[in-house]
Amino acid sequence: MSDGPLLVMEDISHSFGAVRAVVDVSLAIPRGTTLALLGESGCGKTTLARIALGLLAPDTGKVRFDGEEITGKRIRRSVRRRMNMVFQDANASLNPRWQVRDSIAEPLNAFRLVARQTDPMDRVEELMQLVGMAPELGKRLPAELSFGQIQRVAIARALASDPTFLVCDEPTSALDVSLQAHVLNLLRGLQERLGLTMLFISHDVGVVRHMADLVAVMHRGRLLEFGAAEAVFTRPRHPHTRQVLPLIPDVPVNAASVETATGCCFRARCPLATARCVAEAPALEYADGVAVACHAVEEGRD
Amino acid sequence: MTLLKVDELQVIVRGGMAVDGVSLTLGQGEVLALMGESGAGKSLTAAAIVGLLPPGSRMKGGIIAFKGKRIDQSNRAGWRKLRGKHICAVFQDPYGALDPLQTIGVQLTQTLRTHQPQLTRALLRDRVAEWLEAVSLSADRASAYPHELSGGMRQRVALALAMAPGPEILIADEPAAALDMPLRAQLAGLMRRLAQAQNTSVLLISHDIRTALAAADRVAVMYAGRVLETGPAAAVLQSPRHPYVAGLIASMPGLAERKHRLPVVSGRMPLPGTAPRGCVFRQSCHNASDQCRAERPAQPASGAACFHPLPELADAGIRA
Repeated sequence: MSDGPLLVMEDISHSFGAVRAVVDVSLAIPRGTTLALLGESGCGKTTLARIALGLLAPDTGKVRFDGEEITGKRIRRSVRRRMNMVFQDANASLNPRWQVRDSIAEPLNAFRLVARQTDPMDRVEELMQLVGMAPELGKRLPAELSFGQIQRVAIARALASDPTFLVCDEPTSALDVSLQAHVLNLLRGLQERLGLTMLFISHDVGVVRHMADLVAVMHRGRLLEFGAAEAVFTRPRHPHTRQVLPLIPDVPVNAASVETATGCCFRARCPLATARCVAEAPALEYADGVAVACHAVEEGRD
Repeated sequence: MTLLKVDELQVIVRGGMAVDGVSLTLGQGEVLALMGESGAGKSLTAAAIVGLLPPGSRMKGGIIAFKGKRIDQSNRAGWRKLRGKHICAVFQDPYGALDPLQTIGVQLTQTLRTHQPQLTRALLRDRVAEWLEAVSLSADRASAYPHELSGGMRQRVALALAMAPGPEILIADEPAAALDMPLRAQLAGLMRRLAQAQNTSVLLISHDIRTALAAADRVAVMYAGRVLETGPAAAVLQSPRHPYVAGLIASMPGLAERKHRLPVVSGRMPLPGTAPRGCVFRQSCHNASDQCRAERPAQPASGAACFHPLPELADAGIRA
């Protein structure tokens, strides 16, 4: 139980009405590593993250956290405490009328992590120092802090219950480049110091490159390529990955709306698509430690 | 030909100088990206140019001239004549520009009819279809309401609405900020193509370096109300001479290698009214000298506003 991957997701599918948000996704995150989900808005990244945390029960598939199945169950408090999330809009995730130190202390109270006769504020100070904030700022309201400081408060609160698994959903996409660098450095440093296992979500290729040990490239709810970040970034195989990595400024627009109910979800925009891609959806095939779902790669036409 | 000239613009917000001596020029058919982090003064500069400074702020000094004629002292009627026909704007939130109760076809028709009253109904219908296609939407989308479109589509409709009157200048304030990376690149490319086709000049406000590189001919980078570096987009962004601009670009995670730590720009940008004597960046600058503490470097027509600019590098910064 202690050596296997911390999080395992098997054949996860989930639909919202007619929209298939996640289709047959299987992923495992080894302990102490960061897996980044890379994909455009609406590709199913956030839905998959919510399923990983047990916040959403998938239509089909299983999620195991530290060997224990958590799908569709009421998660025990001792397990729940070990997973947490940092959101894109940190400001909206804090109570505007609470001093930020009370927001940081909330998980301590909710999980009853403060022993009697000890002051929870000692632990809050420790957490604030961990994220590089002066403890005096704890008495401020969110409106009295800068964007960067608010994101640090959100990170401190996410770490309050001493989690082993942290989901970060676009934590820097609302920030300026200069603040983004500070927050990314902080998260990388915390991941290493605390040995966190992270699921990191972003549409920014550069941010993913900086954060990820493993990369999963998603498109329209499906996993198209999955492997060690170094391998995927130095030698991307899937035609979609090859299109998004150099960030070509001019993507054809209308093709995105072409109906692709059958076959490969990327075929409408793929330069390598054939009749087989229209008829049959490719499955993930492993080669050299990277998994790719593409007929062209399988047939050696790439 | 210089279409727009901003000279030594100063804007005061609640007593603090938020824009302090900004000079810009925009030539015919040119795309100029005005860059900088939140609070640097770029949106206020743009708002002053269209005469839409928010309550609590006012122009304190400087000149804004359109085709050689001063416009910053225009009255309401004067501004109304300029806006739409000569100067149009798109903002970050396309919802604000679209009427939720009208189809996008009706909104485009209204805009076209206001500026070209001679068009017949049949011609109007054709023009609406043309504009939708110009922003990569199919003509049958004319019957869609704004809420039926995705964020990227709405922003493209807002762009069509702004461009349809055929303005000479388009002011685009962070049009792509709410969009994801591939859509940002797409919108930037689209804007550039439309501007070229109509010979429209664009002032693009953005903090996104990749968007600026993809869309702009020239860039001006602002910090604490001042322009710290300006020049051709590729030159400034790939071989910056100002220490702030160089630091900003170095802090962007690149694709080639995974660094252990990203370099960061130290210190915080001074808030309006708290900028130090001398150079506004000196408190965060590693090269600051006595001269930087005593005097404020002037903004050059092209290059870095810095007493100790970095050497020109053959291969630095980012690539598109």
